[in-house]
Amino acid sequence: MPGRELKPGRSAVARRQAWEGRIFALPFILGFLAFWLYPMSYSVYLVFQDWDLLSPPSFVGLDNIVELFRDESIGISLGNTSYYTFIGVPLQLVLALALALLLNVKVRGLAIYRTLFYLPAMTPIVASAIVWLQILHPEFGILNSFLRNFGIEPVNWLFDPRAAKPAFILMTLWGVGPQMVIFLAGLQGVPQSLYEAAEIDGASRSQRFLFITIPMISSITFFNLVVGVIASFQVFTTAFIMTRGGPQNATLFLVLYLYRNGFQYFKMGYASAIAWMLFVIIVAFTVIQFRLASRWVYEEGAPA
Amino acid sequence: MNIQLTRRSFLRAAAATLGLGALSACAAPAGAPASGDAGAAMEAVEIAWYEWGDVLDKEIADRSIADFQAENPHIQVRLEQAPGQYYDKLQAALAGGTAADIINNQTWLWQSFSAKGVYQPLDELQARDSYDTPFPAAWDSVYETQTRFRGELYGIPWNMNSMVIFYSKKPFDNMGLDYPTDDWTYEDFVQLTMDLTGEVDGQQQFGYQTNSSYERLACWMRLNGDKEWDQEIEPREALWDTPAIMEFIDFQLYACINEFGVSPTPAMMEGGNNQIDSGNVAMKMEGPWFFPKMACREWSCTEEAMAENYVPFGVAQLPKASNGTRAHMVFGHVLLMNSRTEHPDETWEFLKFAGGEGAQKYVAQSGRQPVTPDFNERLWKPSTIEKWGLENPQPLIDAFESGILHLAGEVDDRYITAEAYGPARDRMVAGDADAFEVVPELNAKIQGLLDEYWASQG
Repeated sequence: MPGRELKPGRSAVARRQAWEGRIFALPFILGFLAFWLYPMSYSVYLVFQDWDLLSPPSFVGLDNIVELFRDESIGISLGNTSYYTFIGVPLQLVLALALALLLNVKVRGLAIYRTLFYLPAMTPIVASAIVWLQILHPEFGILNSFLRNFGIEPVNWLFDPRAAKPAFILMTLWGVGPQMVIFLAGLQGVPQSLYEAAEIDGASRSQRFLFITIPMISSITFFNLVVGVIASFQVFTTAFIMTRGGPQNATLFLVLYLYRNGFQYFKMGYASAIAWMLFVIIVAFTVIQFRLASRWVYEEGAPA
Repeated sequence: MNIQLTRRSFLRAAAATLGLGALSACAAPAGAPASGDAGAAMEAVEIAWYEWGDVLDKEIADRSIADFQAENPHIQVRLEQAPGQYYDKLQAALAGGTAADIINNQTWLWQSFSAKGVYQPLDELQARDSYDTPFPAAWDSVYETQTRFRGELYGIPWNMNSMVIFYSKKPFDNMGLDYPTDDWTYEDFVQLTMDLTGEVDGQQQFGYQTNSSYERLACWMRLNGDKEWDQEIEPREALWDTPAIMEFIDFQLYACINEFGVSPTPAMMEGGNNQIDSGNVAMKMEGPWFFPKMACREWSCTEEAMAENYVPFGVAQLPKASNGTRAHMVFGHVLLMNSRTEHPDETWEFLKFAGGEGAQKYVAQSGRQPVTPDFNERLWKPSTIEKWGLENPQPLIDAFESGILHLAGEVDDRYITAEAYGPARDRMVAGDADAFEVVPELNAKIQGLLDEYWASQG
């Protein structure tokens, strides 16, 4: 390139640095290719195959995709997952924001409170599932003991199909620490001058919350919403450990059903079809959220 | 000491380390023979054995391996235990080509793997060595369905157990009732569940602890000789809605919990409460693997734990139906040869050892039943009386005469339970509907699964 000729010495250094860069990046690139791109591509291939893991795959055309529309359990698991997501995620956001507001005031021991609320998120999910099995125990669980104080009859949380999904949603509320921390960061980024100006104009506390805080943290809310919906659609471990999809398929979530097909029924092709259906659903909801975001998410510096 | 490391030398060192690591991965494993070892009379071989992850399984396996290796010093057996998700891990290992040479499976679940060519038929090896130790003629009918599939022998019996009625003596004593004996009838059983239920010293006592899993329900369904399939191996027709079968299902899954209240609900039993080994339930159908639970409330007992928690108990065969017939679940585990093993002869040697007295004596000591009537009489009975305090273990042996297997084939009980039986069972157990309402619908669903399977077979 005219005017950009490198001196011979610098060129060698640059080449060496480029190689070093490639070598340092190699572990990630290899990992990405081997453990991400290849399995994903292979699962696309499997959508059109019948494969039991033990004998060679055989081409079945669109059979697995057609089966998605015929399979009654897909409807059940999709319904359960949607219920869990569309009731659970808004509740998570409300609770996380409420906790963040509480922890956004200057009180003694604030760091301790923040740590305590974040701690459940650090608990391994298997351990928390075991703990929740005890909490939700119909006879000796502390949740029913607590409810008895208010004259509420014990609930068969994980044995009653009407109570099982609410129980799972309740569990997710225990782990809102990360969302709370993100909200907290957002709240601390709201300029104090806005509140002062509003106060001078006579805005009440609730008006300041509704017309300053909520819009100013809307991008944070949006982030938590998108991430929450994605994570919620992928719920698996807790149901796998605690209920195995029961009672009466009330906690048969989509990923659990995918797992059953792949690793218990030897239907890896159909499991891949379910996986890609889930991917399409998640992408669709994410795109919809991004499309709607322009109506309610405030971004500083964006054109009005 | 301050070591100055340039970026270039760091990269060189890293590359050298990676290279050495890769080379060492290609090296022969420790213990493997050096090639061309002309001095060795027999080449040392290592085979792997895939086993369940319980402490008890490990004890039996370790002792058996030690004795086998003493007899066969050129064969090393490496134990691979899976503490959970046993079949999922097996499937992944088979798919990855890393599965063990010897594989333990339950006697009703290996058939779906065999159908895919995973296991090696053993007929030729059996005929070659005239090996019939673990195939007693008296138990032919039991072994035919549990060791053979589509006309070929695959499984060497490892343990074979019957399920009978375990009774805890205290609830009977509380109510002043006699313990059950082998000549009791189904009507006696139902009446006893009611007579044994009630409050004792302010605590609720239950007559019976039902178990809703299908593989434990089948013997009740077949008590009077009816069967819920046209054949239990690869069935084509579901017959669950036969009136007598529905009657038996109704008591086990609906009435005993929701109508008569003689069995605790699953919620009451959660966490080990209100179960036969907790002392306030009188009867439960179980197998010999349950001895430690009665003896110490754990799956493996110490003497201290037994001294503290022992529940005096006895066993009786299942009651007879009104026509005088009865049925018992009789099943266990078989050891199978991976069809991709590189050491079929050594694997076969171990399989033969496992089915013989050398290993079966350890099975017997664990409480589980060994694989022949003779081993049961000589090895298992005395040790059971002495170790577990069971005065009369004979019903567990006699139960083999009416032994049944519930279902085997590519459509297995895991599939039936997940896709059809499980949700229907939950409805009955929860008291939402009785068997007469649920089972016809369930039968249609199961038939649909069978039809779908057979259609896929062309």
